[in-house]
Amino acid sequence: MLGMLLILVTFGSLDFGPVFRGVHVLVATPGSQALLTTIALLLFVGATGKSAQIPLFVWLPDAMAGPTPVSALIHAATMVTAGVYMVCRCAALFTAAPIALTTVAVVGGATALIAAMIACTQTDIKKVLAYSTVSQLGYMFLAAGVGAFSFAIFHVMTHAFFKALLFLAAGSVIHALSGEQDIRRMGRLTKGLPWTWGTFAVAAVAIAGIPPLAGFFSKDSILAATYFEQPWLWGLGVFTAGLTAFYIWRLVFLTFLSTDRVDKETRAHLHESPWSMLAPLVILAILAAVGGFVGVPAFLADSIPGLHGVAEVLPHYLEPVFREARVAGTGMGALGLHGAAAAHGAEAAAGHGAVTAASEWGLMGLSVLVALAGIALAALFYARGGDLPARIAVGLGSGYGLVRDRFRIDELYDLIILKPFYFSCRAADAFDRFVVDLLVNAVAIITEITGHVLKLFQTGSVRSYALSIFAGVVVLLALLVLT
Amino acid sequence: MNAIQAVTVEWAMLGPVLTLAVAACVLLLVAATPARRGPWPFMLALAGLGAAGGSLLALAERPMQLSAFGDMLVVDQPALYMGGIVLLAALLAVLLSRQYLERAPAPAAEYYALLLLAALGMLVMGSTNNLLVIFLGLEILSVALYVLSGITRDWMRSLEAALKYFLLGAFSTGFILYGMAFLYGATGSLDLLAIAQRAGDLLAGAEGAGATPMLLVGLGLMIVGLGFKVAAVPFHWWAPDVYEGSPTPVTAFMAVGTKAVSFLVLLRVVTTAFGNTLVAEWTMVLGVLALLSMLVGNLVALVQRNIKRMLAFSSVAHAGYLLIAVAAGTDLGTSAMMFYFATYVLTTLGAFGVASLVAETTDAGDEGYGIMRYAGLGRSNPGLALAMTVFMLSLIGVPPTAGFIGKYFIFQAAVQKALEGSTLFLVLSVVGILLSVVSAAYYLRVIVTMYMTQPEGDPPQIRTAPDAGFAVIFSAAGIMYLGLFPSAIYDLTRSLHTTLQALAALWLT
Repeated sequence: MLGMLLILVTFGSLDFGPVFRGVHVLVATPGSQALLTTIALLLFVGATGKSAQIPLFVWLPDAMAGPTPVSALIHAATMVTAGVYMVCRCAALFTAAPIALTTVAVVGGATALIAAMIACTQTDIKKVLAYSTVSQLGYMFLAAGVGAFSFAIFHVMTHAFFKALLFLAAGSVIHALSGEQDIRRMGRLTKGLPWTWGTFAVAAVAIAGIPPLAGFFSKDSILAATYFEQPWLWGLGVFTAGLTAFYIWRLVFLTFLSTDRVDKETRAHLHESPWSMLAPLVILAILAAVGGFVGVPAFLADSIPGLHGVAEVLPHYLEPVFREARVAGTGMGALGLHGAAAAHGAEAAAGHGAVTAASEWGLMGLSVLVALAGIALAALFYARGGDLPARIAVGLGSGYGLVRDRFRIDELYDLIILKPFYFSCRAADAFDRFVVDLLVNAVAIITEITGHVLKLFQTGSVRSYALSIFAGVVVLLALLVLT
Repeated sequence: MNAIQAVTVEWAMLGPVLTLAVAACVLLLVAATPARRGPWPFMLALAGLGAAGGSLLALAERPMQLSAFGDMLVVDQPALYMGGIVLLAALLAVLLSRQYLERAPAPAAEYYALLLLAALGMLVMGSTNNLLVIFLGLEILSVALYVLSGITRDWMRSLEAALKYFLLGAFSTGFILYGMAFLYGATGSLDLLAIAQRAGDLLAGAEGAGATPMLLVGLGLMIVGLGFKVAAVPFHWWAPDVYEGSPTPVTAFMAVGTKAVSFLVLLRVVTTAFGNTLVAEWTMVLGVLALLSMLVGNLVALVQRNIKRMLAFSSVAHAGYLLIAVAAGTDLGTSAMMFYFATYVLTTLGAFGVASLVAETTDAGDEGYGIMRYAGLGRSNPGLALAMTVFMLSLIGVPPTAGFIGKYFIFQAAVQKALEGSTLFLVLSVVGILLSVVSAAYYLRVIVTMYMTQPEGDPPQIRTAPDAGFAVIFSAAGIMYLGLFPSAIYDLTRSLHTTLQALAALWLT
C-alpha cells in the first residue's frame, strides 16, 4: 500500500502504462535511484507477505487448517502466486532498481532453502506440502530476482499443476484414512489407493525435477538463469533442488510405501476416493506431466526433432510484457540483464552460442543428478528404515545407524532452524504484543478520547448550539471573503 | 422577463405534490371523525403515497418538460429522482409507523398528514430553480417536521427535540433567507440560472471586484443554511438531540428526506448558479465542511451507547461523505451523490426501523435504545438481527452491500479530483477512507452485541408486525440487490448530471 501511494505521488497514476513510461523518464534522471529502489522494495515487502516469503511465511502453514481443496486453491494456484505475479508485472520498476532486484533474488533463494529444510522435518502431510509451497515460491522470486520474469511465471504455472495435484492427492489420502494427517501413521497405501498413489507419484517426480515432467523444465530454466546472473545463488538453488527431491520422496515413501503403520480400524475403512475426487487428480497429473513442454528451452528443442515448434512458447508469449522492462533496465546500463537474456534461447544463440548451450546441458545434467540423489537418499532413509517397524518405534534408543541419522538431521534442523525460528516467533510475538498492540490500542484510545472530548461539546443546551453555529458561520464567511 | 405574463397552468407537473396535498387534507378531515381510531389513517397515507408515486412515475415517462409555471417549477430528472427517494422514504416510514403508533401517545391521522406534508415540502424544494420556491418548500417541510418531532407530547424528550429543532431551525432559516437576499441583491434575480449568467457578467466586468463579496456572502450563507439541514459540522448540533427525541420512524424519514432534497438544492446552487464562477471558493468550503463532518461524526459516534444517537452521528459522518461528492462538482461526483441516496434511504430506514422495533417492547418508550438491548438478539430474533447486520455492513461499506458501491463511487470521484492535482481531495480521500475504518468499530459493535454478548436477563422477544417487517425486509433485500447489481440505478444517476448541465446550457444559449 505504501509502495502504491509512493507510485501515485511519483508518477501521478496507478495504471501500468503511465507508470512504466514514468520509469523510463525517471531512469534518465540522476538521483532517482533511491526513490525507485524504495518503491520497488515496498512493493516487494507486500509481495513477501502475500506470497509467504521470509520473513513473512509463518502464516501459510498455519492456514492449513482449512479444507484440503481450499488449501490446494490457495497454496497452489491463486493467492500466494499473486505476489510473484505482482513483482513480474512490475518488472519495469524492479529492473530499474537493481538493489531491489538483488534483494528479491536473495530473499527468494533463502526462502527456498529454509522452507525446504523445514519441509524435511515435518510429519503432517499438509504441513510438508505447505513448506514445499513456500520453498517453490522462493524459486519463483529467485527467478524474478535474476530478471528471468517469464521463467518465474512459467514456474508459477507448472507449480500450480503439481502442487494442486499434491494437495488434492493428499486430501484423498486423508479422506481415505478417516482424517489422519500424520505421515508416521501411514504407509503401504499403494494397493488401497492405486489412483491416488499414481497421481501423487507423478506430481512428486515433477516437483523433484526429473525430465520430462513439468517441474523439470521450469525449475531448470530458473537455475540456468540464476547461474548466469548470480552463481552463488545458483549453488543454493541446486542444493535446494536436492532437498526438494528428498523431502517430497520422503513423503512418498512414508505415505504410500514403507511399512504399514495405519490403525487397524482405519485400515478397515480404507477406500479409494470416488471418481469425483479422482478425476481432477488425473487431469492435473496429465498437466503436471506435459505442462512443461510449453517452455522447453530452445537449445533442447533444437536437439530433439519434433519439439522445435513448441520451444519456449510460453516465454515468447510473455515476452512483450517484459521487453519494456528490459528496455528500462538497459537504460540503466547498470547490472546488466544479459544473464536473463542469455537464458532466452534466441538471444543466447546470438550472444553466447554453443558455449551457452553446452553449459546449459551441463547444468541440466547436474540438476537431474542432484534430484536423483535426493530421491535416492530419501529411499535409503525411509524405504529401508520402513522395513523395520519395531526399530522405528524404538528409533532413538535402538541406535540403528540410518534411523539415528534421520533423527540427527531432525534434531539439527530443530536446533538450527526451528529453535531460532520459534525464538524469532516469540520475539515477533512479544513485539506484536507490546509494541504493535500498544500502538494500535493507543490509536484506538486516542480516537475514543477525542470522541469523548468532542462529545462534551454536545451539551444539550440550545444556546451553546446556536453560539457554535454562529461561530461556524463567522469563520466560514471569513474564510470565503478574506481568502 | 419584465412584462407580466399570463402563467400557463400545467397541472400535470404538480401531480405528485397535489396528490400529497389532497391526501393530507383528507387525513386531517378523518382526524375529526371516529374513523381516526381504526386502520383508516394508515391506509389513507399509504394510498396517498402510492398515488403520488404513480404520478411521479407517469411524469418520468413523459418526454422531458423542464419548467412549468413560468419557470417557478423545474421538473427535471434530478427532481424526479430525488422525489422518488423522498416518496420511498415516506412509504417505508409509514409502514414502520403503524406499529410504533400503537404504543406512542400520538394522534395517528395528524401524524400521517404531517408526514405527507413534509414529503410535499421536500418535493417542492427539490423541483425548482427559484430561490423563493426553494424557501417555500423548505418551510413546508420544516414546519411539518418541527411538529412531527414533538408529536408524542407526553414524552419529555420528544418535546425537547421539537423545541430544539424549531429554535435552531429558525436560526438557520434566517441564514438561508439572508443568503438569498444577498444573492438577489447582487444579481437582481431569484432564478439560479439567471444568477449564474449575471454573476458571470459581474465577475467578468469592471464592477466584479465590488460584487464578489456580496456573491460570496450570499453563497456562504446558503451553504450554512443547507449545511444545517443536512447536519454538516459545525451546523450539526441539533441532529443528535432531535434524532434521539423524535419518534423513530420520523427520525428515519427526516434523516433521509431532508438530507436528500437539501443536497439536491445544494447541488443546484453550486453547479447551476455557480458552476462557472467562484468554483474554487465553494469547493474549498464544502471540502472543509466534509472533512469536519467526517471527523466529528465518526469520532463521536464511536463513544455513543444509544443506538439512535449513534445513528445520528453516523448520519453526520455520511453527510461528510456526500459533501465530498458535491464538492467534486464533476459528473462522477453528482452521480455518486445520487446513487448514494438510493443506498442511504434503504440503509437508514432499515436501521432506524429495527431500532424502533427493538425499542418498542419496553413501555418506557425511549429507554429501549441502549446498545445492551441488542444482546442476544441474534438468538432470540435471528431474522431481525440478520437484517440489522446487513444495514450495519452497508453503513460501513462492506461488499456486497449497496453501501460499499455508494462509498466506492464517492471516493472514485474524490480520487479522480486528487489525480488532477487537488491536494484538498487527496486529503479528503485519505481521511475519509481512514475514518471509514474507524466507523467500522461502532457499527460492528452492534453486530457483536447481537451475536456474541450474553444478555443480562432473557433476550427480548420482539414482535414484528407484518407491515414493519416488510419494510425491514424490503430495505435489506434492496441493499443486497443494489450491492450486487448497482448498474440498475447507476446508469440512471449518470444521466442526471448531464440533465443539470443541459438545463444550464439551454438557458445560457
